[in-house]
Order: sequence, then structure tokens, then C-alpha cells
Amino acid sequence: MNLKSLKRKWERTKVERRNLVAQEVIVEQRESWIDLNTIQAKVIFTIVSILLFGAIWELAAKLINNHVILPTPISSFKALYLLIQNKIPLGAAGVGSFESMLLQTLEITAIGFLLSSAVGIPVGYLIGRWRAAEAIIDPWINALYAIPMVALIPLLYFGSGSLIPVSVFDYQGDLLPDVLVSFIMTVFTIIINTYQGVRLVSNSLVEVGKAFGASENQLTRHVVIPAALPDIVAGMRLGLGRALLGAIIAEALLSTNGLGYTMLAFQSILNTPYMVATIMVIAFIGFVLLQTPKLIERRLFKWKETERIKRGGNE
Amino acid sequence: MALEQKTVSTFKQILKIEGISKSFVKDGKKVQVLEDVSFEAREGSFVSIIGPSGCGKTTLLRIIDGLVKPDSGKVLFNGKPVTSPPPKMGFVFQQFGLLPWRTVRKNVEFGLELRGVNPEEKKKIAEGYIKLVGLEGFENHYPHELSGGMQQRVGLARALAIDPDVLLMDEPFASLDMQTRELFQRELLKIVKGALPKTTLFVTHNIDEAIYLSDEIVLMTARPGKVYEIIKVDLPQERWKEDIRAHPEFIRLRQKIWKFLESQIIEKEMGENESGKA
Ligand SMILES: Nc1ncnc2c1ncn2[C@@H]1O[C@H](COP(=O)(O)OP(=O)(O)OP(=O)(O)O)[C@@H](O)[C@H]1O
Ligand SMILES: [Mg+2]
Repeated sequence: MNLKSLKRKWERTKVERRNLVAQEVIVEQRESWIDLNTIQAKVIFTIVSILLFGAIWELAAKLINNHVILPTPISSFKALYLLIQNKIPLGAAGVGSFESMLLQTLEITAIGFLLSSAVGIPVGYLIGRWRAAEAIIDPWINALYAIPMVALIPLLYFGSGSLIPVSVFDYQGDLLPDVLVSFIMTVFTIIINTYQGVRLVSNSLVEVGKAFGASENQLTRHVVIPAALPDIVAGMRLGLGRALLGAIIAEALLSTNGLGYTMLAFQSILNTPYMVATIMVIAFIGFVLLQTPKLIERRLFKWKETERIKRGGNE
Repeated sequence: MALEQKTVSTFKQILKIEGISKSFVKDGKKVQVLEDVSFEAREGSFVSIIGPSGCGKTTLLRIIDGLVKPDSGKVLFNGKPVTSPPPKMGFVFQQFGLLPWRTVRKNVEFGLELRGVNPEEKKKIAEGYIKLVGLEGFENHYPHELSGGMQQRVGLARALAIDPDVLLMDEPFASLDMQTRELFQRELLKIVKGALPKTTLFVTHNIDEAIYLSDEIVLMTARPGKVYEIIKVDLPQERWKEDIRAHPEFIRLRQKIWKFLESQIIEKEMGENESGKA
């Protein structure tokens, strides 16, 4: 009895087995009078939604009839156009060029986010995996998470200059407090998501790893991290939004440049169209920051996506 | 045929299970799951473990593989006590235990990858076993895209791929339909008794399956699981060659095991009724 003749026998029965299998993988197809699965349908829905929003905005602005309280969409877009062209209204004190404010906000967001990931993922992993680490670290996280982070900002502002030498971050300006605010706003979200993801990895998967001889390191790399990755990445996606929020808040309270500062500068001279325009820029960045990882996630977690709940007309 | 059986029986005892007891604590109450379980397996033999649901069969396999520590007793593999999963034991899990983020090929390669087998060889070995279990063409599917039976085959291929001396199988054919199941029983025997000789511990609920496959059957009582009897199956070795299920000895054994299991289930239900009244 050798392997070859064994295989030949398998080949023979393969057809019947294949038939069984083929029935199992036929994809169920749904029919309805309007096919909501197409890209076109999605685009149409999105456009309708945007137009509806614009119409309500226009109507409200007309009713209020005061462009300081609520400018019309058209005057806001006009301001946006001028802002991008670096045409800043007179009296807006210290507002820099459009590029410089955009870059500063993005820089704070990026560094705050990266720092949070670099700290949050290992910490989340540790407390998710080891009870001892959980007992030591978790109370602090809960306590810190409960404090409104904005309350820490003045503390940071005074503390950061004297406690942490600015040269560590090597900034020409004083972005360090801003980065710290963004970091603090973000890191807990990433820690908690990683922690949840790791904690909920099923023991039976870990046991499979052990049964096949995985070392502690291999368990981490080949079982725990891949199993928790969807949660970790979801945490990072939320973290991106938080990092941007942190950057805007920090700029508004601590900085003299950036979109957060600019937004308030326009508000203080009662130039609401420009303020709304700045908010639009922030919203746009936020949109891109939240959408791009979604696309990546969908590719990365194909194995998970098809397991998920089917939403009407969307799959 | 008789001569062949004799040579088999002179093989050494590759696996000794000595006085294994295990209890779990559930809601502050101690539940005795296994009590003084002992048996041995000759090298190259096929041993089935059969017993009512919840009697600790899965727990026993996990202890034998070194995944769980027993409260007392020990497992000897080639004379050495098992404390962690030995590289030469393969495990086929009851709930498949596939890694959902890995494709069929990657799942079969898993054990080889952990052992640092080079990519080319790894791929070649995996492909061989995927073919063997009839999953050609599904290499790049994810587990959730497969039926239960197909997933179970992936689990089997993955365990075979590390070329184990001892194969621990926890109800590996439970989610196959009758025809496929019989086909797989036959092919499994051909593998472990022929092409790739192995010692096999096989947990099942299916009496016919146990008789058809085994040299010995370990009958276990309802919880706490104890060894009630070890039955030698005195049937020809190359069983796939004839219709063994009609053999008088086969029928005798089937009746005997069925009677025992029936008594266990009845006993358990009566026990539960009494404790319910109390
Ligand atoms: N980790 C655990 N913690 C607590 N109780 C457990 C644990 N693992 C198993 N048990 C209990 O041990 C008993 C035996 O479980 P086991 O899975 O070994 O049974 P089994 O014989 O394999 O059953 P089945 O035939 O249904 O698969 C059950 O009562 C179960 O509840
Ligand atoms: Mg079981």
C-alpha cells in the first residue's frame, strides 16, 4: 500500500466529493425591483443626501438671515475658496498661510497618532494577555479615562516645557504640548480596543497554537495578534479621529497656528463664513482619515467581513 | 492474516496513560471529570475511546497532548512523561480549531511554519495533504467559506502534515454525511495502517465507526469518566478489503457496546432526576 495508489483512489472519488462540495458553495442570489448592490445606487443615495443637507442649510440661513449666526452654503464655500487661495480677511490676528495651518494640524495629528499606537498597542496587549499587568495598569487607565482630558491641558501646558526638554522632540516651535494633548486624547482609545481584542481571543485558538508547538513568541505573532487585529485596527481607526480632535483642541487652546487656532481667530472677528470654511477643511480631513482605513480594513479582513451581519441592500 | 496480527501485537507500548484524574471547578463546585483512567497503546495500533457525552473524552485527549495538567497520574510517550505538546503528536480538534484568518493552504502549513520548514518544502507538503483529503481547488478559501465537513478535513490534513507518530483525533468525522464518513474511515485506515503508519487515538460516539477502525476500544463510563472495559477487536487487519460490518464478531461487539452505552445513559438520567427532586 503506497501513497501513489492511495492518491489514485482519491482521484476516483474526487468527482463525487467535488459535486457534494459544489452544492455547498453556491452563492445565494437575491432579486429585488431595485438593485441596491450597485455602486451607482450608492452614489445616487450619497448625492441625494448631500443635496438634501445643502437645501436645509440654505433654507435655515435664509430664515435666520444673519450671516454671523449662520452663513449660507454659498458664502461659506466662497470663503473656503478664498481661504485655500491664502486670501485671509483683515483683522484675523496671526493667521498663517493655508499650507502652514494645514501642515501643522496634520503634523500634530500624525505624531499624536503614531505615538499613541506605539504606546497603546503594547500596553493593550500586555493587559489583555496577562492578569498581573491588568491588575497593575487597568485601574490607572479607568481613572485617567474618566477624567475629561481637556481638564489636563493647562497642566500639560505648564508641565511640558519644564519637565520634558523640548529638544527631545526637536521642534522649532512649541508643538510639544499640542502633541501631548493629541496623544492623551488618543492613547486610551487604542489601549482599550487592543485590550478588548486580545482579551477576547478564544482560548481554543491559543490551544491550537500550543498543540502545534508554538512558543510564546509564536503564539503572539501567529495566533493572538492576528486574532485581535480587527479590533486593534478598529481602535486605530477611531484613534485617528481622536488624534485629529486632540490636535484641533490643542491648537485652539495652546497654539498660534493650525486649523484649530484659525477657526477661533475667525470666530473672534465674527467672520462666520471663514470659520465655517475652516470647519469644512477639518471635516474633510476627518472624513479622509476615517474612510481610508476602512478601505484598508475591508481588504485586510476579508476573512472577517463575510462573517459579518448582512445589512439590507448593502452586501 | 493471523501472522500479521501477531507482529503488530509485539510492537512496544508507545503511549501509556497511568491513573489520570482531573476535576474542574465550576461556580465554586468541584466537578470530577476523569477518575483514574489508565490504558496503553501499542505502536501502530488504533485505539478508540467511546463514552457518553460529557464523560471527559476531550479533556483526556488534551491531557495526553500535554495541553492540560491532570490532577494526578501521568502520560508516558515513548517512556517519557508528557508535560507539553510533543512535536510528534498531531491533534485533530472536535471544533476543527482552524485559524479563520488563514486560507486552507496556510492552515495546513501552520505546524510546518512553526517548525521553520522552508517555504518550498512547506508548500509541497501542504499540497500533498490537501490533495489527500480531497480539497484540491480550495487552497485559497478561508475556513468560513467551507462546509463543516470540509473544515474538518483541513484539520485532518493539518495534523497529518507534521508527520506525527501519534494522531489524536477528537470526533473527526462527526460533521460528515454517512457516505463521506464511511469513505473517510476507509481512507483513514489506509493511511494510518498503511501509507503513513501511525498510532491513533480516536474519540467517537459512533459504535460502528469504533469497531470498524480499532484494534482496541476503551469504553468509558458517564461522568466521572472511568475506564469500564478495554475491548480487543478481533477482526482482520485490512478491513477495507471486505464487508467487515457483516462479520459475526462485528455484530457481537456492536451489541455489547450498545448495551453498555444504553445502561450509562439510563443511569445518568436517573441520577439527574433524583438530584432534581432532592
Ligand atoms: N475548562 C473547563 N472548565 C470547566 N469545566 C470543563 C472544562 N473543560 C471541560 N469541562 C467539563 O468537563 C466535562 C467533560 O468535558 P469534555 O469536553 O471532556 O467531554 P466529552 O466527553 O469530550 O464530551 P463530548 O462527547 O460531548 O464532546 C464537561 O462536563 C465539561 O463541562
Ligand atoms: Mg468532546
